[in-house]
Amino acid sequence: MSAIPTKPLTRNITRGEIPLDIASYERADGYVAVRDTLGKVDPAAIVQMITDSGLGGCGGGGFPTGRKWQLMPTRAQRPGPRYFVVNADEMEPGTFKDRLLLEGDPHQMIEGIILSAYAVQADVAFIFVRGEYVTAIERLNIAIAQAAAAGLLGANIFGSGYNLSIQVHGGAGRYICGEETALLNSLEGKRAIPRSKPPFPQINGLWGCPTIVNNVETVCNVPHIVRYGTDWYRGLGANGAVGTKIYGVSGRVNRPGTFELPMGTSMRAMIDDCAGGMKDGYRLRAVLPGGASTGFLPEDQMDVPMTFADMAKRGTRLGTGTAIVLDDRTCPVGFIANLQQFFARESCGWCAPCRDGLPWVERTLKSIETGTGVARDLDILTEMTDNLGPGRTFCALAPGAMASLQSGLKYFGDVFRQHIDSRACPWT
Amino acid sequence: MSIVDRQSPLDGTERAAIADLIAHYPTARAAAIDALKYVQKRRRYVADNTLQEVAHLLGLSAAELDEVATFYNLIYRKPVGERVILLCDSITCWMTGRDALARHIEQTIGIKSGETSADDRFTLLPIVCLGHCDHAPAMMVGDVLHGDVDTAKLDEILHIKGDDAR
Amino acid sequence: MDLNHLDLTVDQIIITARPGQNILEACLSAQQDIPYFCWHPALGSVGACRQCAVKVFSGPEDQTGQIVMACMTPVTPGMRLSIADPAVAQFRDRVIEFVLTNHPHDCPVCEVGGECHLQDMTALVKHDERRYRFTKRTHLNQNLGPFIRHEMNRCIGCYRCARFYRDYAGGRDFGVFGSNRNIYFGRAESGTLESEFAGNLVEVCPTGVFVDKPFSARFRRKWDMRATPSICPHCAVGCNITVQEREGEFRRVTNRYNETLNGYFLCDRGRFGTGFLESDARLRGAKRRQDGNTTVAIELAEARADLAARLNHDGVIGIGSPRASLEANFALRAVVGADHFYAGVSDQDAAVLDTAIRLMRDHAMPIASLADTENADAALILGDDPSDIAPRLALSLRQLGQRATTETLAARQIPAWNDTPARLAAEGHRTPLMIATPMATRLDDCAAISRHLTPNAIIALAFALAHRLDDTAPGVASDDPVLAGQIAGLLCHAASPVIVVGGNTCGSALLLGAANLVIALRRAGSAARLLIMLPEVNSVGLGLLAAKPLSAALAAMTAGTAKRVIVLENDLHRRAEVEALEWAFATVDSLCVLDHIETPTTGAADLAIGVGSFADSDCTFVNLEGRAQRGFKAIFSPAEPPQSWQVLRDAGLDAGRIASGSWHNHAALIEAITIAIPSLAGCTQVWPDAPYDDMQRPATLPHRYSGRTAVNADRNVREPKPFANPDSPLGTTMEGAVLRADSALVPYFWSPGWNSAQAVNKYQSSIGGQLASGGAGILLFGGSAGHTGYFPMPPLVPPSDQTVFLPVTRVFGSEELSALSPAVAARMSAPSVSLNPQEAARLALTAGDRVDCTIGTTVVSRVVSIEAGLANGIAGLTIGFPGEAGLNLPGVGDIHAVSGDPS
Repeated sequence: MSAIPTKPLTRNITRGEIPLDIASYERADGYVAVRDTLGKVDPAAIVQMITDSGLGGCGGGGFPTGRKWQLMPTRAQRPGPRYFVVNADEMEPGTFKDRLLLEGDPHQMIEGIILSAYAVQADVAFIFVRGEYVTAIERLNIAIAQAAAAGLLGANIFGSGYNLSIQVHGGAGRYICGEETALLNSLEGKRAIPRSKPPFPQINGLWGCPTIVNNVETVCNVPHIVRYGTDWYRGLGANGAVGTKIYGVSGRVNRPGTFELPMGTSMRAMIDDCAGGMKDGYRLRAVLPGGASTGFLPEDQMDVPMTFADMAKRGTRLGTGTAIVLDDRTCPVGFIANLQQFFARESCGWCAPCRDGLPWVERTLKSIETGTGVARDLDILTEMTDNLGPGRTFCALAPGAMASLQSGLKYFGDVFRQHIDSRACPWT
Repeated sequence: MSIVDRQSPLDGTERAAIADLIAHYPTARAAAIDALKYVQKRRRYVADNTLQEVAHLLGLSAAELDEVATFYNLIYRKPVGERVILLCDSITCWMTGRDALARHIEQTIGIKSGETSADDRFTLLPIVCLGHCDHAPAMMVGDVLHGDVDTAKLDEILHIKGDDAR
Repeated sequence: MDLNHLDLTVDQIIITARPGQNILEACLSAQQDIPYFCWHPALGSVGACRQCAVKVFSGPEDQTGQIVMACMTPVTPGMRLSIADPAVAQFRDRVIEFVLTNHPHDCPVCEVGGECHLQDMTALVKHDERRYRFTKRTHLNQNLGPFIRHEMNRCIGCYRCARFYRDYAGGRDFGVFGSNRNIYFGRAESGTLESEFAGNLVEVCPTGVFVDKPFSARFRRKWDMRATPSICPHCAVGCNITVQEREGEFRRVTNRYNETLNGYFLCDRGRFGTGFLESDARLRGAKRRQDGNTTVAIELAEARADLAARLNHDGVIGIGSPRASLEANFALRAVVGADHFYAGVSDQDAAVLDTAIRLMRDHAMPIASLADTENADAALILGDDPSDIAPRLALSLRQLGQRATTETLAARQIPAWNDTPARLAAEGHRTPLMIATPMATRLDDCAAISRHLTPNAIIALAFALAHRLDDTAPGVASDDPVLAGQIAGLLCHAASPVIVVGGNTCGSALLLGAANLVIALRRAGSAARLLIMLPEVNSVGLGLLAAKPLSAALAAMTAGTAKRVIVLENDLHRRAEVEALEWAFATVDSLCVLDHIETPTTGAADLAIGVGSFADSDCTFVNLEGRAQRGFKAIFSPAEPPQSWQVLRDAGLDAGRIASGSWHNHAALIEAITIAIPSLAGCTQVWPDAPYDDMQRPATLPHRYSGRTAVNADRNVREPKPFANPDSPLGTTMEGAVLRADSALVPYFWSPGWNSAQAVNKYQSSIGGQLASGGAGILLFGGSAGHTGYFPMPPLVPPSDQTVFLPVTRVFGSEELSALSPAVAARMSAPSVSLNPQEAARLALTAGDRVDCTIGTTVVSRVVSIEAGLANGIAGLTIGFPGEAGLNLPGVGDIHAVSGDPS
């Protein structure tokens, strides 16, 4: 056995290098968990192990993965096809962690799928990769072919009686495909409109069959938890959190990038220690902790541990864990307007507030930014943060959009008023 | 390939390839996006008659397939140039100068977002975050991802020299 | 504990709901208004528009509450919720504001203004301010054909149109394109909407995106038109409609909700076929032929005297019609005498009708309504495609075939109203719809089993199925035991299956086979029902008058016993072969025809009397279930045509054929009918009698009717005398009783604040349920029993060497009256003969070839269409197209290519 890793997700990844082939991957302790598990361990025990590990969804929600799996009906309850789907539709602005895992260690992805699909007794797995991730798609397909040739995929894997095939599906754009039920519609060759829940995908998923959808990073954790155990996994975290997390940062920092760190590392530690702090001439004003649909964390709160719970306490969310830095030389109104432009364009068009409200928000912000805003706009924007908020719209897209607007109005209200009063953007 | 060629009926290779794509899924409809992407790769865009033919192979009506085709931004239902420039306009790239790159493209090639150059060589489209934020601004040209793009690099990627830029 | 009801507290009011309802259904049923757009009682909930937000509180202590969508949230016992809560009220206001950011506010020039659900909902939330200060998105419109006009800029993105057209009605040439704010509802390219249910988009759209195109050309505001309840005259389903008129001119037909038949939807033949009322083919006034071929117009009184004179002679016969009302047919039967009254239908139609009447009336077969059919847990279609014969029935059957089984939904805890997951759950778990017909049907796509067999094989299958279920049923070897086994298995599994049978292609023998199957299923303990597809609006009503078929009339004419013929609202050229008919006409002394349209038969008459259509008459029709329904005189003008029964009564009185004082009014006529024909006894209860006082009669003119006195002021300032119709329980003026939901006398649905078609919400006992007023007609036959014996299998028609022609009816073109409507005429395809590919190859024919088909003495010209799945030796021949003579079908004959250029 190789040394027990402290950065399990990225241990095989060297930037700029091609990923390990199956032989090298197996030499690095790869697929051991699969060989030790299939046909030897009760699938329910794997589900229990993942539940006990405290692994949460790394796509941004943080929902406990084990609990998600437990909602899957048993084979006896629901005979017929069952699906395991990996959400590799990474499109959250400012987020670039799944690309690292897909391109950097595709066999880790495959191994995670085999173990996860086995746990929920799915016989077909799909990896939904956004179409722009051309390299990731190529590398996954190579890894799948190698794994199939090695007998890790196909019928009756290792004589376990368990069958699994994996299919890579390349998307054709649209952020909404990252919403798990919209993703299922897209996989079925339909418009990517989210589905109402309940029923959840576990009950009425892909083609109506029991289905699990998990994020890339979530699934990549599974082989390590199975291999090294829940105690090991829980011990990886910091500040009371469990496991590691691929954090990242972009914007005017010296070394933007991704970093696998103990879950619960502080924002300041990541930005200063890993990313080398702010570039010369730029001062940090606030960060979006985990993508475009998280709210601002102001500069005085940089010591907060990056966990789902701690971020929620500060009125924002951990999201994908890849932070975007707003610096002092960027107009916050323009910054938020850009975010809203994204959300307005990526609205699927299904529900009225999102479809018709977001373009209104975008136009209002652009109007303010270009000096044509009126005083009433701030009232309208404030009201929008309520009316496009959680529970009001069909899915989480518009509430995600409102996170930056709401916190932006809170922290940078004076900047908005300055634009309106002076009829110009102070930054231009 | 001329515009006319891009509207020609599907050939045997294309029909066989679409049949193969269908075989990957439990339903023919599920291959809709793969099939559209496949024909688009060969024809740059999906013309109306191509859409009808693909729909027929998938057991869909033209309307059913067009509902899907028009939803996704990477399916082109109008002619595009030889090289499609997908210039990220999401937050980090916006902060790090994507608008300047767009202006540069307008000045050198003469196209704004959504336009195709008169010589049919380039189409410029906005794209959401390409997951390359640590190398912002980023863009894709065809299938190739480019990071840390500045105007000089842009000229190099697009083979724009001073002389034949316009 | 009452398991069927639970209580909710809505803003301190306690309302009662049914378990399984959602909050929106429960509140609307309890007359608590909540605005909505994407939800529709027949289409279910999808949660797209977010308009029906309410606040739900988790318990007595909860003061904050949570905003939920009423349409997506099931009711729970003791639930506490608020509609009036300021936060949620503000949200609903803002949702209207959102959708209006792209709406053009063109109400003054919009046909839907005044009956717009968007207007109603805007008023309901009291939204009155526009804050959006940027540009609106705009779209180009498409030409969607002769029925529907497209105004995409008005779209508020509720998705109802696509959900109705595609998901509900199974149309495949319409959808939603694009994404985000830039969504477009239409076709892939401009062109006629293919679905025969497209017209419902007019009522499904909450605003003015889809407009009734023929109506648009003769438009009046809803409140400026008289609205009268009527029955669609274009097939035997008898969908309930509202006919609207102004200034004596027909304006449009809209759906009139009826929970047992048409529900919320009509077919396009019904909605647009009524355009025949304004067609050039209307026969107006009376005319008499004199010396040879010249005809002269005569006064009605003179025509009536002429008719009376004819009745003064012996040898008078009457030929009735399945498209004429019970009143008219009975009146003719009475004045000529029952023995001299003939049905005016072909032998084939008469045999099927006779068998149908025997099964329904004499054997009390349990008959399914359309609602029963839609809600059945299995259905088998035998013989004919309902899509062309009874389109609205096909729409009901489609709902069955597309729906997930009840067990599947229960296992996944999906309420049936939760539309998207319920449709998804149907994948692989659909309610079994089975089809055995000679030709492909437009329901094949949602059928579990769909087989296209020869008529003999279908008859054999029906009898074999019955025998398989009960070996005491007459036995016959099935041609395909595997198929029979599959169908029998699915039928046996069902608790309340419906057998839908038509006799057009397979004849009356198939009806008996279907009846045996129902009997066998009921003996096995299921609540099976039968539904017989009959051709015309009053086929059953005519059948109950027990008249001999047209061939017997023609025989009497040629034999010289029938010298004077009176034909009622019937073009006999459609019913008999021309040669035989013209020979018979040539032998009689006189031919009088009463009709509201000009036909070859009125052309042959020496006395033609223009009478009222269904829309000019108070008329009773008996539909395919045996349901007697009444429509009322809907169009009033100074030069109004007489009703057939009144002409016949007056002539009959003059000639002493009926007792003096007979049928002094409509009620007296109905009374006479029920005395003469006991099985029609129910007709007296079809509608309540007119209230004693005129002022108690609900008005058919809306209380906002404008320009009543001013409209003719350029010609005459005198206020015209109001029209009178003492026979109707409904008033003809603006004055009368106020509209009341609990009254059985409801001329049209309207309620304060509810000006659109959705006003019907206010008249239902619960949403999507029964009309509180009842009023769905009277079932004449109390079908109940399984104690009738089995029917022996009649001998089958021996196989022929020649081509067997089967009749093909088309939804647009085969029905006589609707084909005269310009909009429907624009939707007709060329008359065709369909062959399977092998048969076409054998005859060296390809699609589009012109051929002559010879059946008996008749030759018809057709265009070849190729249809895989048709049995060898069989050809489908479209029938009933305008200008075509009657054909004896099914029949054998030959097909010959027409040489040379058809032009």
